[in-house]
Parts: sequence; structure tokens; C-alpha cells
Amino acid sequence: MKPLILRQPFLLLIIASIICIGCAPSIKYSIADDETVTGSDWSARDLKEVSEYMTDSIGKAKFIGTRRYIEDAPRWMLARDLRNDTDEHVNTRTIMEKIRTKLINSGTAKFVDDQAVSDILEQLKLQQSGLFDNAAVAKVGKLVGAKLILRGTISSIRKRTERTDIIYYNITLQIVNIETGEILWTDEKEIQRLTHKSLFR
Amino acid sequence: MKRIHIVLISALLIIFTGCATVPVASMEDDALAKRFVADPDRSLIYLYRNEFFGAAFSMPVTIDGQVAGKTIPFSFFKWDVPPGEHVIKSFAENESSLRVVTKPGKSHFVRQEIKMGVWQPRSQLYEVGEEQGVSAINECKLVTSDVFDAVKRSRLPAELKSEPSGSQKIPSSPEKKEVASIPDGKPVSEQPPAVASIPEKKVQPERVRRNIPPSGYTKEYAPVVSSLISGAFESALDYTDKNYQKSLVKDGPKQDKYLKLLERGKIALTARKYDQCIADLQEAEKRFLTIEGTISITEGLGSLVTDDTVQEYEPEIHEKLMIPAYLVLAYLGKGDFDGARVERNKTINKIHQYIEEKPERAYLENPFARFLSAVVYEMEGKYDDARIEYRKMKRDDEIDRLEKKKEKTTDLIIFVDVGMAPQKYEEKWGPTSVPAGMATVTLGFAYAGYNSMESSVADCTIKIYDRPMGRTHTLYDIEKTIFEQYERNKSTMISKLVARMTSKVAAQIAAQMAAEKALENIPFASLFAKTIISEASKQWIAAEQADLRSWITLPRQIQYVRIDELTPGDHTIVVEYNGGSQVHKVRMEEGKISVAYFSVAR
Repeated sequence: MKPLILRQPFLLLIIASIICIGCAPSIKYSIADDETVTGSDWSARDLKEVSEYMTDSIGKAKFIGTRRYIEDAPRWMLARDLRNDTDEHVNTRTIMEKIRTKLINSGTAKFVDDQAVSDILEQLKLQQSGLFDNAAVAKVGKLVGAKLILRGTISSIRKRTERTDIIYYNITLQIVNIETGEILWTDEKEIQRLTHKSLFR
Repeated sequence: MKRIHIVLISALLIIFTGCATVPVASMEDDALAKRFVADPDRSLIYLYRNEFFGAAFSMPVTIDGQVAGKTIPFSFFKWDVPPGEHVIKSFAENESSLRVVTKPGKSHFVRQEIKMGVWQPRSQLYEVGEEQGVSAINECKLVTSDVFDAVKRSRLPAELKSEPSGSQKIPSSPEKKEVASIPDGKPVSEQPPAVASIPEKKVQPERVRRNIPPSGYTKEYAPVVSSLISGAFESALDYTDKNYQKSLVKDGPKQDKYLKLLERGKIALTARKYDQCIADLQEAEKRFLTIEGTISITEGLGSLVTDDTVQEYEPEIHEKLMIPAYLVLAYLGKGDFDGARVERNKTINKIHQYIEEKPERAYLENPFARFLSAVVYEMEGKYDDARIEYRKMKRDDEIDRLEKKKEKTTDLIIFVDVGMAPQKYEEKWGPTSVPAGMATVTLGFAYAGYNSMESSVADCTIKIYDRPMGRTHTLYDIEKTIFEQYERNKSTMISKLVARMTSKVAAQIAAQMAAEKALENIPFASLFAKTIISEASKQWIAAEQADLRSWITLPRQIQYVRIDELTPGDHTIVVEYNGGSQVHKVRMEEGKISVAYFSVAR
């Protein structure tokens, strides 16, 4: 008489599947925002929340709807980085670039690339070297200067004990007129959370 | 079973009693006392107590009417007395008195035997021969005596040696009265101060320096230390890397992984490999934050049945505070000021968390971390914040300098790590078999002490090119902090030892009882099994190791010098010390503060 496992191929299949699934690494491609928060540190959820809040706030800024702004269509640029005054090595450039992407895609602002200037100059120099067809090369003197700069600061206050960590982030952004130094818009976003570790690890 | 209880309780309390109430002499003095050599015109009297029994009780002893101190299990006194008659008394539930007639140039030995009493143990003094005395004393620890202290006397200049050591005298008539207050069933440490007018000495942290061969973790890092001392930083980095890799292999010491990252990160900073330093220190710090305040049940149980070396390393507070401070230096070395600012913020948060919120930890103050934070505030132009930190350090000179500062100057601050931090060494007691009813249990424990590392550098001379600019000053004495922290951690260490010893004794008794019950019907089998269990217990107890892990690549001290108002441009800094020198170039920007870092491990 055959053993039970050989008489029931379906049972054999289930056991094999369990073994295979059990051994395979678990990969999940769709992650909820809350799942990106694993502790009190800066997370992808915070990045998303801040960029959405700031883009929305800039879109509602008074100066955006003025006739002058619409007519002049001034170019914007990002400050080199968002000043990081926290106790974490946050990639602040990502926050700024995410906001820039949303502003460009929504048609709210046109940006000049603050980091591409050296590449552009190199390319212009090459194209003006005589090796290229004059009619097809990029013209010099056509670079557009930015009139508005988007800058800001991220700071934090942290209270930590052995198993509790309370963090408060404050992200402040400003749009500054480069010619006049006038702040045209500013807003801030606060994020706070408390994390508590389990006694056992 | 009652006797087993007594043995167990004694075993538990010996450590508490010993460390809490009696001033134990340093190891150096202890070793000196065990030479048994008397001056030709003086005599030595050794009084020893070499048994567990009555461990909960420390017993006052007098010699010639003067209070010498108290004995605890496995302790002894050494008195340097003029030849002649001396009366020694021991006070417990009873009073035991012994007359000893000493001879010039001779050592005399007195045993304080402990006996069962009604409310507390009784004691009996009697003189023993040299052979028995020497053998017993070799397993005891020297207790500092308040009178006729032979160790203190040996340090006196010759002209003062003839003077007897002073102490308060117990008058002969009230002596009885005072003793009468002892037997009320409480340990001596709980007695009202009347008994003891016996002075309790506060043991100050002592910086011990002995030639102890490295073992365990310190042995693993001996080549790193040698390379550092000889200034071969690349080679030291290679060794730390190899040690770290060992912790990653299968069955390697994974519990040391993050400590070894700290070691590698620190050496990477010394070798000016800033990226590696940052990666290592940050990874280690992240892990230490994760495990801070948590307990691993498996590791905890493992440490109870073996020793602390099986537990994941968790740094001491002084080590935790050094991580972000060194990261500030690494980011500044790399030229990443934003990174340095983040680490400065972290440093300030940690100082707040570990020290400022717990005033009892004021002794852990890290002036290096705070000073460096103030410097970064200054670099940032946040003079008010810098002033706050200088004020907390009571650095009026720095506050004055800031007050007088009218314009931005080109300043250079040089930090120098000097010497090596104290290393741990193993102190072991046992294995010793103790009869407990029909059974025998093996007792023993191992713990770590700190040993100061030899250093030949007191300070360094700083030159810019060939021009002397000044000498370095001590900013942070890490060695002092470590010894002080060790003293304060003793009670926790003792609790752990007691818990481990209790669990080991309980396991031995359980095994013997189980064997007895299982083999009761087989002649001699139970006896045979007990012998095997006893032998296995000895091996088990003997295998216990002290946890010798610590961040050993830390320096003994951090020194610094500030050179103000230099001319902008490239400068060659030369650090000279006791026959050696190091050179490093810095680029000074106008109106900015630059920081340079050196390590002199000699």
C-alpha cells in the first residue's frame, strides 16, 4: 500500500508550495505611506506629506494669481539645499526636487536648473567650437536668469529616553525675489510623532 | 537544605558586603602585603578571615584598643607593629580576644574563625603557623586598616616611620558597652552609628597601572594598539578590519560586531579615512540606539548560564557620547560642514539626554563633545549658542574671547587624542568547592577591572611650519571618567555576578538532587553521578570569563590648542611629542575657523 502522501498528489503539492513559499524572500511592491515609518526618523511618508502640502500652499499663494506674474512668467530656481538643522542626515535635496517636479507639472512655475549650469556651459562651448553646423547649434546669450528662489530650513526638536523618542520637525519654505530680497510667500509644516520601543528585542 | 541556604546566601552576600562596607586596598597594595617581609625592628601581624560563613556580617576588629576596621569573608588586615605584646579583639555576637607576642622582623598570623551564633555569627581568634597563614592569606583580599597600616607605613619617609599611625581609640571601659550594641540580629552595616564610631571610608576611584598581559578582547586588539602606538595607522586599520571581518563569519563573535565597527571607525578617523569612519560609526550608533533600553531574553539567559561575553555589546555612556563628537571631526575633515552641523546637533541632544536630564551623571560630562559643539556653533556664526555651551563648561576665557571678538578672524583649533584608554582585565575567584549538606557545590566568578595604559606623552608642542605656537592642554580626561564610571557601576556588576552565581549553584543542586533520585536504587550510581556532576561543575565554573570588552581605541585624554588670527592660506601643522612628530596640512579660509585632528597613542 502506498503511503498517504503518494496517494494524495494534491497534498504533496500543498506541502511543496508551503516549503517553497516559506523559503522565498518576501517582496512587497505596494507600500502604504504608514509602512514607510519605522521609527521616529525622517521617512518617505514625511517627504510625501511635506511636498504635497508645500506645493498646494504655493499654488494658493496670492502672487501666483497676479497679472504681473502671469505676464512676466519669471523663472524660479532652487536654493542649493534646504538647510538641515536637525540631528539626522536628511536628504534635503530630495524634498526640494519633489516640490519642483510638482510645481512644473502643475504649470505653477518654470524653473532653471541650478545644477546644470556647468554642463550647459560645456555644451555651448563645444557647439560653438566650429565642429557643428552653425544653423543647428544652440545660440549663446539665451540663458534665462531666475528671478525667484525657493529656499527653506528643516529643523527638529528631539526628546529621547532609553525607549521613547519624541520628534518634532518644522519645515519652513520661502519664495524670495532675487532682485529685491522680498519674501513673496512662506509657509511651514509641522510633523511630530512619538515612538516607543518594546522592552524585549 | 538549611545549610545550602546559608551557603547560597553567604555566597550572594559576600560580594555585597565586601564592596559596600569595607575599604578594600588596591591590587598593588594587596600584592605588596602578600610579600610577608617585616622590617628588622618591627613586626607584622596578619589577621585573616577566609570563609564564606557569616558573609552577611562584617566584623569590627581592634588592635591594642584601636579600631582597625572590619573584616568580610576572604579579607585580611596587615598591621605593622612594634615588637612586643599586642591584644587583638574581634566583635560579633561574642567578643573574642587574643594576646599576641610579636618578635622583631617576624610575621605573625591570626585567624578569625566564624561560628554559628543565635542572632548572628560568633567569631574566634587564634594564632596559626606561618605556612597555614600564608596559604590562607593568598586567597584573601587586603582591607585597608585605620591603625598600624603596614602599607601606609611603608610609604612614609624613614623619619616618620617610628610614629604609630593615629586613629581614634576605644576607651577600655566603654568598649564593652559599644560591643553590646552589636548583637541585635542585624548586619553591621545596618547598625546605628554608635557601634561604630568605626569610620567608613569612601573608596575613591583609583587609577591602577599594572603590567597585565592582554587576554580575550584586549588580546585581540593588542596588534591594533601596538600599531597605533608606533604611529602605523594604516596597519592599525588593517587589523581592526580583520577583527571586524571575524565577527561576520559563521560562528564568529557576532555580539561584538558593532563594537568592532566602533574600533574600525575610530582608527579610520585617525588614518583620515573620513568616509569609512562616518559609515562605521553611524552604523554602530544606529544599532546601539536600537538596543538601548531593551533586553534580549536569549542573551540574558545565556549570560546567566555562561558569562556576559555572550551578550551583544552595549556601550557605556561615555562611549555613546564620543560617537557623534568623532563624527563631527570626520565631517569637518571631509569638508562637509552640513554633515558636521547635523552631528553637532546630535551631540547636543545626547549630552542633554544622558547628562543634563540626569544630574547624578554629572561626572560623565564630556568637555570635548561640548567644546567641539561650541566651536561648530561659532563656525556657523551662532555665537549665542556657542556662549551657552562655553558657559556650561565654565569656560570664562572662551566667553571673554567671544565678547571681545569684533570681527571674524582666521582661527585654528587643533585636537589631539593622547595615549590609550584604560583596558579591562580579568579578576577571577574560584572554582571552589563548598560542602552543602550531603552535596557539594562549586562556586566561582570572574569580573573585569580596569587597568590604566602606560603613556609617555604629557602634552604636545604645536608648530606652524617651524614656528612654535604653543602646547596642548587637557580638554577631556577620559581615563578619569572611565575609572569613576567603573566605581559607580560596581553595584550593577555585583548584582549580575550574584544572579549568575545563584543560577549556577541552583543548577548544580538541582542536577545532584535529580541524579540522587533517579539512581537511588542502584548502589554507588548516585555517588558516581554526583562526582561527575561535581567535576563538570568545576569545569563549568572555571570556564566563566570576565567581559573584557570596551572601546579600547579611545584615547586616555583629549587635548587641544587654539591658535587665533592666522593668515589665510595653506599651513603645515607639526605636532611634536616625546621624540615623535606628525605633520598635516590645512587650508585656512579667511574669517573662518578650521579644525585639525591628530592622534598620539604613545
